[in-house]
Amino acid sequence: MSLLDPDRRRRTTLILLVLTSITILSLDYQGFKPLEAVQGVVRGFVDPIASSVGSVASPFTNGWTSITEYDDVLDENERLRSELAAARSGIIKEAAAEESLRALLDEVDIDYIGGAESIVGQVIDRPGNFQNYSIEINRGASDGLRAGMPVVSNDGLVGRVTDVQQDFSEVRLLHQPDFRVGIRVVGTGAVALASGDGIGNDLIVKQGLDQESGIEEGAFVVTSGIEGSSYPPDVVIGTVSSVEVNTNLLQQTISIELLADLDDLRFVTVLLWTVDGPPTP
Amino acid sequence: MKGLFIGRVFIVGFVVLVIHIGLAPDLRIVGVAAELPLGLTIASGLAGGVERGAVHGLIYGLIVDMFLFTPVGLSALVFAVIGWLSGHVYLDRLEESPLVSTVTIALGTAASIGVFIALGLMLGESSLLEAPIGTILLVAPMINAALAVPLVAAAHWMWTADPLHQGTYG
Repeated sequence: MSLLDPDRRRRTTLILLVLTSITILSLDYQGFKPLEAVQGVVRGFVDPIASSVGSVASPFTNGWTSITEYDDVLDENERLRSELAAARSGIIKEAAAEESLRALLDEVDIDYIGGAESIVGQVIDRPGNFQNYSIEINRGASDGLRAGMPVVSNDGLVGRVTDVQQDFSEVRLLHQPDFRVGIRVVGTGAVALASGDGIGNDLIVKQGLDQESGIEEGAFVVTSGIEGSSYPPDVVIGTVSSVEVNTNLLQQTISIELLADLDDLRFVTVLLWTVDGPPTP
Repeated sequence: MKGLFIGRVFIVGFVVLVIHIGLAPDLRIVGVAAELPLGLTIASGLAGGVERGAVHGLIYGLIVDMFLFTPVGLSALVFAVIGWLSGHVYLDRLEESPLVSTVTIALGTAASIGVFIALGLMLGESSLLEAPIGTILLVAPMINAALAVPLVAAAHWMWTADPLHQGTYG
């Protein structure tokens, strides 16, 4: 039996291709830089064309969506109307509150993150049926992004930049199970570490809150911003949705409902802030 | 002839990829999009045979990996194996039948998605479990099956320009 035997040649081909795939997988896990460079080149070529095709075909695809998801479109329309009304009244209140906050922080010599430089990025739809705990945005190193920068929506914190390419970046979202963020419960001074619990689930704080902390449902939660934290202080995260007391451990477990809707992100804002200082130009 | 062949492979692959990235995410049925590159790879095996299907699957899967969150090489592995397997259907010259092509692409798509999820979970991609797997396994193969005839036609057009194409599989 030689390599010229068709059956043997086919089996050999399969083995070689499987080994090649496994090699590529292991290179990817080791962060093989040339692979990332190839990814940047391929995507830099295909993404703009695919995006243009998507734009040209949008009347058709929008029509398709309105037919297949008519009820959802109606619900979303109604929801957006009510949100718009709430946002209009909120803008006025926010402006007044921000003015007061700036004055107060100036007095105690604390940097106000609301004034930090930021850049808006558009979420890029990824193909296929399997999404991730991450999103991708159309901003990258060329826009001054660096790994670790916090990402917010109009409603609050959504995650942080984890992987930066030249023209696009990956943003890891808060609901990823191994995601950790330092939180502070407004009005109580309680500080702890919250972690993600999967898509659509609240953040969980299991440790660090004693039962005397006085946390109640509905309390606002912001980033703690304690020294060395990956996030600036006082970025809004959400509200306490449940409080459970473990009498054996004398501790509280709380759930935090996110204000930002991580399932429906179209645009996000990257705060050009890192724990080790401003980005290099 | 070689230039013509490369040109056709590029055109078919590129058009399917652009549709997959630019259009398919907005043309979902019950939230599920077509898995066009997978469909093309199976069609490629059907029209080109075992080795062409496998090599095409590896290269095309690798390109598709560039656009996904999952590890680079995962789609390449799945596509290479399904391209190799679907090429065996060519052995019996059943690819001429639209029905066989349709069924093969549907079953191949479902099997590939299942293997993709299993391998992804072994590699620690727990987010794959967040997707509506049952719906995807049911709907994506049906969409691909509906597109089987044009996909196989495109694969035939691609392989007939292959200088090594001798009308036999492998």
